[in-house]
Amino acid sequence: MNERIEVSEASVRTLADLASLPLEEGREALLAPQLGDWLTAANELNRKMSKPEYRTIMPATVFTHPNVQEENE
Amino acid sequence: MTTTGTNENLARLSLAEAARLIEEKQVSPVDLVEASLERIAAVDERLNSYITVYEDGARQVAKACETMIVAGHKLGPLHGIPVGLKDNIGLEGLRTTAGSKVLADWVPEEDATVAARLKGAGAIVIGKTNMHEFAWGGTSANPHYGFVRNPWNTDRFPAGSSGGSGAAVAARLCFGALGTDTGGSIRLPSAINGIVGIRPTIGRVSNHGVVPLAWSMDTVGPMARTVEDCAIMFGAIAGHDPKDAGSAAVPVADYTADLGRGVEGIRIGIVPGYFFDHLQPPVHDAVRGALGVLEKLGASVVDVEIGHIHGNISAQLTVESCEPSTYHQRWLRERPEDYGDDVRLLLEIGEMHLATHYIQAQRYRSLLRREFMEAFKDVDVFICPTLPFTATRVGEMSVMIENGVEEDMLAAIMQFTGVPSLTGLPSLAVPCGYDDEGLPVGMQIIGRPFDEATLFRVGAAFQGTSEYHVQAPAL
Repeated sequence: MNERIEVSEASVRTLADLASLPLEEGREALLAPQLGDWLTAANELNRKMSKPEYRTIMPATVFTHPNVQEENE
Repeated sequence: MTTTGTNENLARLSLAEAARLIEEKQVSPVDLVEASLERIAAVDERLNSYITVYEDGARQVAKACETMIVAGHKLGPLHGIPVGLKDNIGLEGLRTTAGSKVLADWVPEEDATVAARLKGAGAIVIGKTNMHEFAWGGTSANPHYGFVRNPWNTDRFPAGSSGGSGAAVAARLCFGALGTDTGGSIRLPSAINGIVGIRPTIGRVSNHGVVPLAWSMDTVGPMARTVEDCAIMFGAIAGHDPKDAGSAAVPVADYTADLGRGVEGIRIGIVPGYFFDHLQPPVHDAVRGALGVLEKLGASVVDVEIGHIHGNISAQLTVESCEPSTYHQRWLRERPEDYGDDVRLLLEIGEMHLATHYIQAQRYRSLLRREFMEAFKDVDVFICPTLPFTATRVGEMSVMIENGVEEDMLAAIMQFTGVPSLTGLPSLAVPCGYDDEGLPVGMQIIGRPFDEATLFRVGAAFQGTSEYHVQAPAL
């Protein structure tokens, strides 16, 4: 079951500081509720993808088909 | 060269009809461009679907196209056809804003590959269409270039992010347009504006020269009034591009070849417990009705379990949050005030996910794709609604789908479009009905990788029995 993540304004400020993101005063309150919603869902997905049966699953990435000639230049 | 019909009537021709009439020298590209410009002048003040209109340039190219066709020289299947480009697609020497203040004065030094290919096929770029800022959102409520409005009811939104392309095509302000699609940005405005649009297989169409949103899910695709029109445009832009490292070297088909084959024997999958749950009733009824039509034409509809489908919205929001925030990292620090409120907030939030959230979301994509690929052993396509509701009022950031519950617009709008985005599968949006207020409903046909031809085949079979694609909004 989802465990609702309550993100405080202080937490938003800390995360912004850790990312060197100069967040204007007052924006913490705007970000906190939506960040809480999204992290709650992301943590739920973390729990699913951490199950042993998915241990061999590789992440999807940008599949590149490089121009070999260009790469060798 | 003799042109028959008024400009109003010319603007209402389908792309395929217009192309045929040009080839037969019954219609001049000059008159098609004038017809489109006249429509833009008459109605776009109410729609705001274009950021820039190239009146002089389009007229010059049209004259050249006319001279060529009279001389018996046809550039390609789009010779002389006026089209719009979403304003995140670069054009050499012409301003390309991505709907932003940040890139308000950006002038690319070369055409995006898709723009060059359209021009090479003879298309005339008549203007750049309005969009959600940097394509990061689904409403096309653009704070810098004005909110785009829905031609079926200008109090309603056109969806997005390719909302300008959707509104312009539906309102007959061009014969087709290009959009870009990351989480649904071609298919959503196609459905909401009652037109056809395709999200191609990832890698099928070049992204070179297009302002990115989320690299691992971005695609360019055509939006047009009919499946045939969409297939013609798609054929002009599809194919490998050595300038795009994500481009796939897979042969391109003639996408119009199978349009008349029908759907006898086609197996259509639906996912019980997901595709027809949590919908506004008119959407449910219209898409179920379309399935019934296809069954009568000889297709079969089967239930398919996709056990991992739940969780896709979170994965989308995580990927579509982290990747744009990476691209915008420098601008967000140097000029945050130049972003609109909603996009700025999303970009800031994208800086606050953990790497493990992002990577688990990317692992989930592999899991979901594997399950769909297994399912394609038993079905040829899946069909579901494009989105669970019809057009909401302009400016609304929440939506009521059922039981009087207000839901966040961004998560709600991605309910069905996210599956192809995450899995890289192609998906065609086709109009299939209206709600009680006359607002369009769209269905989504999802197919195997690089099998866009089957999607066009199914969509064309449906349009052969319906008239949703020939209805035009009364503007």
